[in-house]
Amino acid sequence: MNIKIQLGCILSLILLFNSCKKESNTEELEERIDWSLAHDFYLEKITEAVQFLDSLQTVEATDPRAKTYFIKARQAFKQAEPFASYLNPEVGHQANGPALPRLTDDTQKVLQPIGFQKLEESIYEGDVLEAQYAEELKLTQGLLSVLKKNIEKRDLNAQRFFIATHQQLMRILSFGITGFDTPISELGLDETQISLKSLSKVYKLSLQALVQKKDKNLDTQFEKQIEDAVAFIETHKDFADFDRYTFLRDYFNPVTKSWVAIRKVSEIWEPVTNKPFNFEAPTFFEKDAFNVDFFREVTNTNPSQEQIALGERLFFDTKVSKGATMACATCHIPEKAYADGIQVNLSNNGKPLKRNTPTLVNSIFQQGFFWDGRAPDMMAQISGVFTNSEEFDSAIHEFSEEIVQDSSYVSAFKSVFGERKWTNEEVIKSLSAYISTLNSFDSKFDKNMRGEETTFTAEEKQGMNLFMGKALCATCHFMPLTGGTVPPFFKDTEKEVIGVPETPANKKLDDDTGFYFKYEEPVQFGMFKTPTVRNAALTAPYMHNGVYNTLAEVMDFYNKGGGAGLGFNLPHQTLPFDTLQLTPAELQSLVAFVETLTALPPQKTH
Amino acid sequence: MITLKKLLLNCMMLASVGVVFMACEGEDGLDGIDGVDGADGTDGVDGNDGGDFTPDPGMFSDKSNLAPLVAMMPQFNYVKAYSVLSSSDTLSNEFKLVGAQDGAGLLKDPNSDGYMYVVNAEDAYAVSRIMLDKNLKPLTGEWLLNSSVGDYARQCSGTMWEAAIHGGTKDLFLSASESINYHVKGIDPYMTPTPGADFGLDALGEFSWENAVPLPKDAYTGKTVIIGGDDDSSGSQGQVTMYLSENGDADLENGKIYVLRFKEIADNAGGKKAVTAGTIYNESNLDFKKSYAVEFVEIPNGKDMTKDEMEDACVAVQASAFMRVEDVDYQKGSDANARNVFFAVTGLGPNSTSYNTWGTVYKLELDAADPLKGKLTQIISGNTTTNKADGNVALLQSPDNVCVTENFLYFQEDPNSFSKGHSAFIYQSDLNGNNARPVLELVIRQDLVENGSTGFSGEFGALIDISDKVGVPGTFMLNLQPHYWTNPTFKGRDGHSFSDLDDEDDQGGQIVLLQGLPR
Repeated sequence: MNIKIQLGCILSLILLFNSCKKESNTEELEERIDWSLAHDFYLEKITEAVQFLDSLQTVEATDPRAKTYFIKARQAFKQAEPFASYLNPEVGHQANGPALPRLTDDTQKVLQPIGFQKLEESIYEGDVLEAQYAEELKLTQGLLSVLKKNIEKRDLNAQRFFIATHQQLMRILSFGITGFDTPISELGLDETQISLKSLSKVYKLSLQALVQKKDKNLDTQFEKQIEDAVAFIETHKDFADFDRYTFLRDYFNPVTKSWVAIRKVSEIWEPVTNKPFNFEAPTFFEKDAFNVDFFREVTNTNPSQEQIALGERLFFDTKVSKGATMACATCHIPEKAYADGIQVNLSNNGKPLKRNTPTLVNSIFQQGFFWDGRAPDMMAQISGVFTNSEEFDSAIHEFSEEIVQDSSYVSAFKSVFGERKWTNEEVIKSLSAYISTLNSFDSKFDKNMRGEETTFTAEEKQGMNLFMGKALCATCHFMPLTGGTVPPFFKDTEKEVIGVPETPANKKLDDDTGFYFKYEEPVQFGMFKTPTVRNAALTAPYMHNGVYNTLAEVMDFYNKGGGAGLGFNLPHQTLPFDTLQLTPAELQSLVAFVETLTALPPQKTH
Repeated sequence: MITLKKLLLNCMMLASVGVVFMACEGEDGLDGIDGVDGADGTDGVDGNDGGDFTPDPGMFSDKSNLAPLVAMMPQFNYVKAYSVLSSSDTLSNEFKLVGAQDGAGLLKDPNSDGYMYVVNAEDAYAVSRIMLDKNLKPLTGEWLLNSSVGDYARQCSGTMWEAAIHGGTKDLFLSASESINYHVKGIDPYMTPTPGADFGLDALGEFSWENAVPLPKDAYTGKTVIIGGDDDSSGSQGQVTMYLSENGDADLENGKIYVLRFKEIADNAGGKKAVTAGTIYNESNLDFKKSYAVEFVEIPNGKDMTKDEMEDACVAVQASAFMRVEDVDYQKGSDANARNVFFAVTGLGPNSTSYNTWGTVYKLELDAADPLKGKLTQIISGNTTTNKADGNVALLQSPDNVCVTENFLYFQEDPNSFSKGHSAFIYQSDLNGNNARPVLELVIRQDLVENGSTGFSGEFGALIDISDKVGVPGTFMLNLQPHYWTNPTFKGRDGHSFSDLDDEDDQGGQIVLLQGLPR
């Protein structure tokens, strides 16, 4: 080392010390948290997962040891998952995502499923070619190796830690206890215990000393809550009968509450506001548990009250459409839960439209719009209504003459968007801003989950436990939003092939092929977006074509195994083909549960 | 160890050169004209060896057993296409080409009078190196990267960093990953293959990389400038990125990462206005053929971010959004020209009701004194009836790759769904997007389809100007991705372990040579 370089090193060290002194209180505190132990824990666990897959490669899929190695690999992965999947969501979700083929958007290539859930099928259900299984294993191992490299390369810090752990808590609620993660082996409850215990573990490896200093009781309480939650599962470990109502309300929510409190007392991280969660919300069932701004298009975030009010006014105004034939509220009627209660509404010249009007309540929490999910965001959705010749029939760069002539509109547009020649783009931004506020989480279900009331009947509890368990509803209608937007990243809304019939007689497949129009790929034949179930009690008739008039008919359809179960030729159906074997009482309880999901936003002054 | 391998490779290369010489004995025969020189003429034995004599077909001939899968448009009937290599061919070392040939670069082979062609195979997650003779006849091929790493990262476009052009002392193939690893891989084109290696150039940052294009070393003397395309449609959507280092013309480690942001937008009355601070804009805020001031803003600590963190950071600095930025290229001819950068935005396709349906191409004129400043003009748009309905190329379906010469822009389609009813085109326009017209189309051969029937299907990969390398003006190499051409025997050719399974890509591909394309 020559002298110049040495001198440079010393100088930069001095600079470093100087800059440390200037750092804020928060950063100084963070300095005291040693994240390396928690980081090493994640690394150790992903390494273990890779090793158990190594072991899995030494035995055949039918060998009893295969299950043992598989379970151990999953358990190790579950402990590394928070950080691994935070660092690389795409690969994390592929390693532990649904075993369904995917079509890549940009190359239209059908990718066969790989990852733990595919391995699970092969090991637990058998009937897989040896070479196929070997490839699945190898590729899953490849995915885990990528994740391992990611963990090696990236440091752990307060921001990554709190986001990652929050995501894992969401996974417990959405995936772990619902059977999404492990649909065949039903290991979800064991893995929920593991996820909870490993949260406690990484807490001990990082924050505990600090929290003990600041709030000893909180530390003790958190540890106790984890133990209690783990113990509750231990004594009720039966997937079909697991009491999710009690678990979430009395055991899981206290854990998330304490976790938020721990983050607050530790004072080492100021929550970000660009994630799907509101990190201040103590549970996932609060009125403001989700961050609406995350779901808005980046070009239209944080709308002002003025913009929302302008949107509200435009929402009810037919002047937005060509010839003033329709307004948004023509089909999305507030009194009818922002739907319309009929099978299909009428076009601007009185002809039946193609699909049923969905509710707008909580619609912002999606990444795919229209029944076929073709529009990537709400502004694109509204644009589609403007440019549809059967609906508003107006181009994006146009602007309604009648609005221009209304001076009260002109001053509102000027105030919100400034001096500029306005087009429908500003109208769409305003409408989108308004519709994104039409949310509500004040249903009987939410209130019960929050502990504000204790009013769930035995039937509703049974319905909830079925919805999130044996009836498999929540493996597509993800809790707690009950739509197809995939937790915990919420960057994608799933589409499914379920085989809705043309008439309630269930004799013939509907001729609407859904998203298939886009790429004409057989795996997407008859594919539609998974909508929310919230407010379903108010939004009959159901399905993209409004075919069913009652929730009982809908439950019956799923119980029979969807379209394939009804005997339609649907090789790419994404629902299990066979019947769910639910009793009439169970089906009725599912309806009762769905009816607890009703909550409309307060109607404004209009 | 590496030295030993290199030695071995050199030996092998020398050996193959030997083969070339032997094979070329016929060519000596051509010197028969010298035969008049009586002394040679008497060399009767050689003269009898007539069987070996084949007139050299030269550079401009089909070298593949499959005719080129492109058809020239009548207005370009003076341009000729020849096939170089197809998936139906087998090279002397048993190398066989796979499908989805995308980004590529051509270099002179330092060990022969021939060349080496380094090329991404997007859907096989692989990169191959094909050795060519002096007439571009493929000799051998091998895999510099294959999917055995379990990486599964699609290698999209790519660019050859050539020391002679871009600076530094080493050539390096920049191969862009738009999935799984989200980095630019820097692959030594001369290396002894280590197809499972990592190759990541971390300093360039994690994006959905479509391509990373270095500017020539004296476009900004003493600086390294790499323009990238972020092929993303979600969250912050697509960004135009810049890697800039002030530490010399070939620093790939200590630069900073920037993203493009508008300084002006359209006022919708034919004029411009300044942006409102704190607001994010997208391409719909620009009028067609109008120029707007833009800047590149830094993403602090960009190299330490994951792809998602990068996306959040792009939102935080209000990076301007494009609907999937694809390929990037710069004008050739001079260092000043090279500061004119062009990029394609593919759009989201019909019925998605996005702000860009059929795709656009932009010209970005960077400031001569400061690469972080410039002006941006949308010069090509397929949105003639969609979006603002102000486009200029009614035929256009989703531009992807671009190739810019001194005088022309070539833009190439990757039609995601063929709603405009023609197979993939390559268009030529001037450098302001005027007089755009199709040059050639991808040939759809029903007889190459397994069940004998397909609609339009397929796209193009890289189009690169190799005129200076081969010494013949107007010579280009073009990669083809005829997605309809599938065959089980095309699977697993990149030498990894699974060869006959459903998941393995079974597409065929082709590399063609174009003669006489205007520069």
